[in-house]
Amino acid sequence: MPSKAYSQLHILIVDDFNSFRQTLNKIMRELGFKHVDSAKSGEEALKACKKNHYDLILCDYNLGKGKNGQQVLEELRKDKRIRAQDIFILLSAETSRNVVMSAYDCEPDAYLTKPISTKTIEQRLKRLLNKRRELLDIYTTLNKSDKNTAIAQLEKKVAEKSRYSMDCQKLLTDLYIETQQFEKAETICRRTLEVRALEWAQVGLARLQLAQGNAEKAIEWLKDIIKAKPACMKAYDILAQAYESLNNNEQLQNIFEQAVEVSPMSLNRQLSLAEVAMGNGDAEIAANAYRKTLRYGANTAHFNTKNQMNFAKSAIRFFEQDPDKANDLAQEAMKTLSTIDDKDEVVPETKTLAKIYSSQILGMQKLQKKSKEIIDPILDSLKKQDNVSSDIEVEVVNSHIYNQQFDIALLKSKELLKKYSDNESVLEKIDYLMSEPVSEKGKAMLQEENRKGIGLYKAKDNRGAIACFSRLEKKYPRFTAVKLNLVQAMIGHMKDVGKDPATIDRCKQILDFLRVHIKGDDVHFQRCQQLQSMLSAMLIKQGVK
Amino acid sequence: MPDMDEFTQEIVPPSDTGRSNDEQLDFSFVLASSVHDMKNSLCMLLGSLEEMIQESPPQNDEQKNHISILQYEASRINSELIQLLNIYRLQNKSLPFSIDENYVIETFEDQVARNDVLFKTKNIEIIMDCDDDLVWFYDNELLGNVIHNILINSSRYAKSKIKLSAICKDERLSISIEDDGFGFPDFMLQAALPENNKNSSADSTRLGLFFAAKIASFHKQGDNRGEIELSNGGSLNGGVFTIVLP
Repeated sequence: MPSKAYSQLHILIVDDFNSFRQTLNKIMRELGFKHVDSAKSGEEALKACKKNHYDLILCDYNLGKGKNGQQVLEELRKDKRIRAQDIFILLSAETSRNVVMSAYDCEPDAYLTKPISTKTIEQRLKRLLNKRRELLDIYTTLNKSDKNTAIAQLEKKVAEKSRYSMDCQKLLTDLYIETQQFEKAETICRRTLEVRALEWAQVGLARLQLAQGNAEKAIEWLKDIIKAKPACMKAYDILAQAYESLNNNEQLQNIFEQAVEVSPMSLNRQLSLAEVAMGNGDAEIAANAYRKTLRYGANTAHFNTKNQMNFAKSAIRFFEQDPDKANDLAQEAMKTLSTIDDKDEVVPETKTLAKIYSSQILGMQKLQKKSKEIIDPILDSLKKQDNVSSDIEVEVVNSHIYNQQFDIALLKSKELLKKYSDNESVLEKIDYLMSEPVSEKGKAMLQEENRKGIGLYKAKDNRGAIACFSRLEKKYPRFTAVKLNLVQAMIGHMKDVGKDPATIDRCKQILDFLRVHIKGDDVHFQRCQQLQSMLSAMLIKQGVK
Repeated sequence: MPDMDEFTQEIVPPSDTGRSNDEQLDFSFVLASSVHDMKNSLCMLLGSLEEMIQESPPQNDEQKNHISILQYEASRINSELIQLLNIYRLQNKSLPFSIDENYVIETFEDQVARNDVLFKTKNIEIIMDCDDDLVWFYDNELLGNVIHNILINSSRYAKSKIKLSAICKDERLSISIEDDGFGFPDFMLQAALPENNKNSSADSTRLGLFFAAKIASFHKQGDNRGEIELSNGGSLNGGVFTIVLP
């Protein structure tokens, strides 16, 4: 039964199968819709939404290569291409865990599983459009960000016992928190919870704690929610905000790791995970997360290049930490980097950086000749330039290090130190090159974390000490003091529980590194020698060759 | 920075904090994966069937009968596979189980619409008896699948009518699905008793009930859990399936 109101609305159908697009198109026209467009991929859909405005989007979950339905919706929300009153329906032929989780996670207006009967669509649309009609005024106010008017309108709806009271109360809770009317928000949540332990109200109370500065309390509650309902993605997101407010990057990474495990398809969370892991020096997690963001496809060319570069950088760092495990990632990074030079839209500086990264990978793969072929022309041209960015300068030094040119690296890093002696943010980047910290942040970090590790070691919690030093070593792989402490903790560990080939290798690897870099006049020289002989003595005693 | 003296040269227990990547490939996992695969195939089959009926409607009663058998059997297996997967995922805590406030009538309408073509080919009339404003707390996906499953089963035995009704009494929601068929045989009525739900010898008729009972019991409020019940009679004088949720 065609409805007159339907004929005004603009519809977008997104599906990679032509036959399904046609079937759906036919159904929609039979229902009385006049303006029906279609797209065959997520990217095409996003493009269409930039050009036109759609009141209703019917989007299949699986769109073949590139973005899926959830990612399309995430993107539309991020770019504010979808208004509060617009309807997004997610369709799916399969009900695999990931799909169900996605649908649950991104909260489309409806989620329908194929095969979809005409009747189902007709009925669902009728219902969604009724809701839209009743709440349209409120949506319009919300689009204008007029929160106070929206609150008044919502309160009225709730008082009238509207059919959509529950939706209104959820929206009200959000708005009360945003406008700092905490008591009112709390009343709604508590009243709801008196009747039933509903997720949104539980999370609402935790959000209230966080908004009022009680991050610790919020964390406690959110952990309880997640324990009872491991799939409550809102709780993970708020928990991440809480850890962020405490600058607890270790826990922040941890919570993103858990979240992407439960709901792997969210591009935003993968990206957040990649960024925080990179900051924490956990290059393995970062590289894998960046790789996923690239696999899911990206919205803009700029975003794509940035992620490609970050992916390469984290893969290189990981390769430095663990060449065996990171080999595949490094190969993939090499491939990714080779595409950057051909892109017209990429600025020359990024192209140069991409080449430097390539030379770093080749250097670590002991392909020094090939590495030199790339880096030498760059070095020549950099000499002629005045304004070389500090990123490039730092990575050039790294390139020398990966190519075993330690003397040049040392000379150049000293030059950088002089040049940027009062530029903290560049000094923080230089930290990565140095055997001891030069930035304030690096110094503070080393002092604090080292003290923590030594405390654990003294308290006989050697497992904890090793974990602590390893973490620090990942972030600052060339700090001598950290390496020495790590070796000492590992030797002690093996004395205690017996030999362990992996730990022995790790000790040897670090001591080999130090032997190259620490000369007789170094303050750490003697201790390095001592640890070396302790390791040898222990291996002889325990009968390891 | 610490100097060396801050360290003594003793002790240290094991360090490895690495993640364990062991994929536990147990049988239930393999089974669940293949169930998933079968279910996808059936979806394709059902989709094609619906398109076929639309493009070339049955010419006579015999054809209509064949099509309705095809549709019924495929829908039945499909809905059971969905249930099977849901139980597996719930037990592995990998499925979001989310109780929210829902309009019961909407849950009914969804499931009736889902089987629209089946009811039409079988000439079954659907009667709904439910207050428009009746709301209750449940997981709409899961309860929807239970109703879907029962509707398909009823369509096999109903002569011409299926009735869905819902009422709320004593802080519990009671949903009944009745048909005008011959009613459930005795062994089914027995199988549905709560004490018999556990030792289901898993023949296929009982399996559906087992799923329904399981999903009902996931719905808890205080000490109360959801239950199912089978009986004969009711307003259509046939089989009556009832699910009660706290």
